[in-house]
Amino acid sequence: MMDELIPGTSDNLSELSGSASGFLGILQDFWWAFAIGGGVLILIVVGLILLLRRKPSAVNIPDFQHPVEQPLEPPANHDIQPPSAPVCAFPLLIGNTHHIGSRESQQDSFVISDLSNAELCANKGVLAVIADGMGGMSDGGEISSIVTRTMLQAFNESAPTGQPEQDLLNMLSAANDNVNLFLSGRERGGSTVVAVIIHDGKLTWVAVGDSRICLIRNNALMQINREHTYAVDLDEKAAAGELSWEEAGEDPKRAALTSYLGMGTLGKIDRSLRPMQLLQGDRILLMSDGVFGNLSDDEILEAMRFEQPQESAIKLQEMTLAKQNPHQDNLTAVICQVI
Amino acid sequence: MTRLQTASCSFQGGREHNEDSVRVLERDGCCVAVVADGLGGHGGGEIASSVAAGVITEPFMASPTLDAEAIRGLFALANLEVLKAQTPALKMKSTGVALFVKDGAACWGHVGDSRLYHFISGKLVAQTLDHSASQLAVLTGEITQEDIRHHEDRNRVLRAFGGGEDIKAEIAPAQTLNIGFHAFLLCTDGFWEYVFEPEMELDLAKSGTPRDWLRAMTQRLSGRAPKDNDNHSAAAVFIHIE
Repeated sequence: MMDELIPGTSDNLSELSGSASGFLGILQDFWWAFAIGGGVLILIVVGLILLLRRKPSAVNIPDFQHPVEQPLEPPANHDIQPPSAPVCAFPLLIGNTHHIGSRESQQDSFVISDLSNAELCANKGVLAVIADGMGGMSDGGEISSIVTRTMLQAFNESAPTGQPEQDLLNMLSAANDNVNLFLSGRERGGSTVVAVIIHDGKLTWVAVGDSRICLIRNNALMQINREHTYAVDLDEKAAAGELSWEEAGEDPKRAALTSYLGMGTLGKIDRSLRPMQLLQGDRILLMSDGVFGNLSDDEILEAMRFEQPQESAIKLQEMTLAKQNPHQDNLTAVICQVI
Repeated sequence: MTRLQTASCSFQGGREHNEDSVRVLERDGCCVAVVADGLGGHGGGEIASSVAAGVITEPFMASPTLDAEAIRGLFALANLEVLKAQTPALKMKSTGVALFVKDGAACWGHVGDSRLYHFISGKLVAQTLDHSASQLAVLTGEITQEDIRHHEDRNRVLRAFGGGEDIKAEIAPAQTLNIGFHAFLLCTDGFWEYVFEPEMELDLAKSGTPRDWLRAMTQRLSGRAPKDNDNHSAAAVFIHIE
């Protein structure tokens, strides 16, 4: 009779040998189970090792955001773009608003140079530009962006000449060249532009098209540039008695631009030949027609009553959108306040 | 070296007659500009302003001198001639403002509420004070200078050619013009009423000639003034001293 192995008991090696031979038998029959189990165990161990070795990620502290040019793609959020930190190396406060209105695309663009760059401000001043791509033609947004980017780049990279009026003219010419280049082989397009340089408390400007630059001083709104529209020409003729005010007012081509970037050679330009001295408290307001096309001068002045230019910029947007114009154009404004 | 450029304009506005007169004469570095606003209606004001402008400009160009007393004498003579032109039915009068330039120096005088503005390097540095009830209100602190344009007594002129034997013209002493760019604007109240002083500077900043400057300011005025606005006239002088 075969001796029985009684479980849980072991008295000597022969019994262990007996036990071992039993285990081997099980191993031979169920080797695959042991293989799978072993593999799982190995994976668990490796995973634990990797988990323990992983270091915590560093917290990203963004660099101080300088005022930057408008990105090429309009932001998905069309709320007001908050200004950069108000601390600047130049006695100027800036406010701005930029909204799509009721249109399908944003064809306005704007740039403001780096106010925190003390050397730039000391040598060249501050640049602000608004461009309004022409709707009804292709690529208006891209074209206006070309204008603002070109002018900002030229402002940043060119050597100061001591003649800001010539500098602005050169920047305008470069922007026009780039727009014409973009348009070659494409259907007609264009952009308005209004641009100012404020340096040593003096204002220099250039304007083409129907965007506006205004001076606000002592609660008076004074337009600086004369718009390049057929309406202006018609009204001038009516004032001279060459045609009636009714004829001037009813002409269907009133809104047409008589000068813009992208028409080939630069046409009419409204610009300063000499810098104009600004006073403390003066505000220079740049606007696309989406703003002043919906607000009266009194309404604009009402918005300017706020102490901070950014508050005024917000108010301009609020008042414009409150009109609930179903065809509300893109609207952009930049306010530069001398402090 | 002195380089002189001049321009002038005069518009009827929404009135039946243009009672303003403008005279600008220039020769050999000398210049005289007069702007006068006739008062009286019925065409009489035009006679008064025209007489005053002629009497001041022609003798000066015949014998240019920046002597203040000589210029005061011209104003007195103009007053006498306007008084002579008056009739029992037409007691016309006229304001007047005049600029005299010779050899890089300038002198000016005025009576009434036509104004002279002096800009140096594009910045307004001086302007004449009106002889009017509104200006008095500013001087007494009742209103501000900016309020003059809307003041109820704005048309009450206190001194004018033909207003009496002693018109008390205000003559500024002659001054040498420093090296640089000088611009002078002489204008009637129908003009300055609708063009603000900062706008004069803005339009000057973008003007290469006195004519461009006047055109830019006139365009502003046309867009702002009512259809029945007053006659409006102006003279502009650019002087480059090098």
